[in-house]
Amino acid sequence: MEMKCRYCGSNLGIEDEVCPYCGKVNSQAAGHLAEMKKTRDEFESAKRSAAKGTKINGRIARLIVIAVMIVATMVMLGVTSRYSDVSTRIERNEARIKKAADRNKDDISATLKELEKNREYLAMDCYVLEHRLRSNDDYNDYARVFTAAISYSVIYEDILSIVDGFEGYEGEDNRSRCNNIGIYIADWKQYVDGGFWNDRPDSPMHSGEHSGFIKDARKSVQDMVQVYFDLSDFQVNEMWSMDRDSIGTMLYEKCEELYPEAGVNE
Amino acid sequence: MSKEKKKKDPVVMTLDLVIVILIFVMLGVGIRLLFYKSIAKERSNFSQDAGRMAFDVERNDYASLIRARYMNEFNGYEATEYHALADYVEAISMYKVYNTMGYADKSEWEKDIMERSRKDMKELTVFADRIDEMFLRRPVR
Repeated sequence: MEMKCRYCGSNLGIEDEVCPYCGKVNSQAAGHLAEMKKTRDEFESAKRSAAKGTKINGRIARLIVIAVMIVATMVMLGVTSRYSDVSTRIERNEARIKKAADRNKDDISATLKELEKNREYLAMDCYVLEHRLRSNDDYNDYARVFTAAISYSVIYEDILSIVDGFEGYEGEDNRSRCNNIGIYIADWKQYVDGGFWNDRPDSPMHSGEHSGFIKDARKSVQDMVQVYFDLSDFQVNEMWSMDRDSIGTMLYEKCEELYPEAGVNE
Repeated sequence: MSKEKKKKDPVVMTLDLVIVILIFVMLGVGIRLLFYKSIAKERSNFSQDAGRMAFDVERNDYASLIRARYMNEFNGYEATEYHALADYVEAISMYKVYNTMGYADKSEWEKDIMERSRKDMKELTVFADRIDEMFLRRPVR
């Protein structure tokens, strides 16, 4: 864009503040330049403020991310501490099992009756453990039945471990297994028959099917011990009136004779 | 001007560093959480998968195998071959008792279970043969 000097008529450029020929002030260009400067200043100011805004937004965004991460970490730590605490975990698990047992009371009662009727001692022991029925007051009438099933199960498992030659866990050997069997047999009268609690014969824990189950469990234990330890009828009948140590010793003597390979590393 | 652009805000740099550190912290805490959750899941019941039952068989721990078989049944877990082997061990152990004591009906019942279980255990029959040796080799009274 071109203009003329109003004093000498020379051609002037838009940015010529002064006429290069006559030296007079070009007022038009001065106004234009002042406007340009203003615009540039405004632009720079807007740019600076935008840059400042971006910087602040970047900080805010990062702070939000950090806050979210801290909250997530705290939540995970909270959940971890709940799971890592053994006693809390056990308590929660037990409470869950108890709740489920209360919800399925009819099914559990029916299954118990069936297991009791069929004299399924091992299954009964596992079922009692699975649903924690020993500590459930709803099944108090089954208390001696449960103890009979558990005693049978322990004796059966010890015999099985002697026969199959399972090395066992630390401190477990055929001597300890025989002693363990001795404990359960010697304690039968006290804890299964209820002598320890002075159970009356008409107690609900010994009524109906319960009495038959307990009697049959005792006979089954007797047969198992007689067969697997090769005891005479006299020995096996006497066994019930012997103390723990005497039963354990008698069984271990037989064990050494019948299952020598299992006793080699003892 | 371009140099000014490249210069990074020290506050933003610090925050970025904090984010990187937090990522590692979250990873660590997450792994711990998964570990404890898996333990909690494992211990919520007494069921065992086939792998764990194989471990019992390998160690001759047939008492645990039988226990696991019942627990699996109560919890709806399936491990057909190992359950058949557990049934076989239980049946043969009882068969020996009933047969020795002369309880014909009961020993027949257990024998039927043994035969059925042998069919179901497939390649695990090799263990059934070993179990036969364990239980039947000893002289019956």
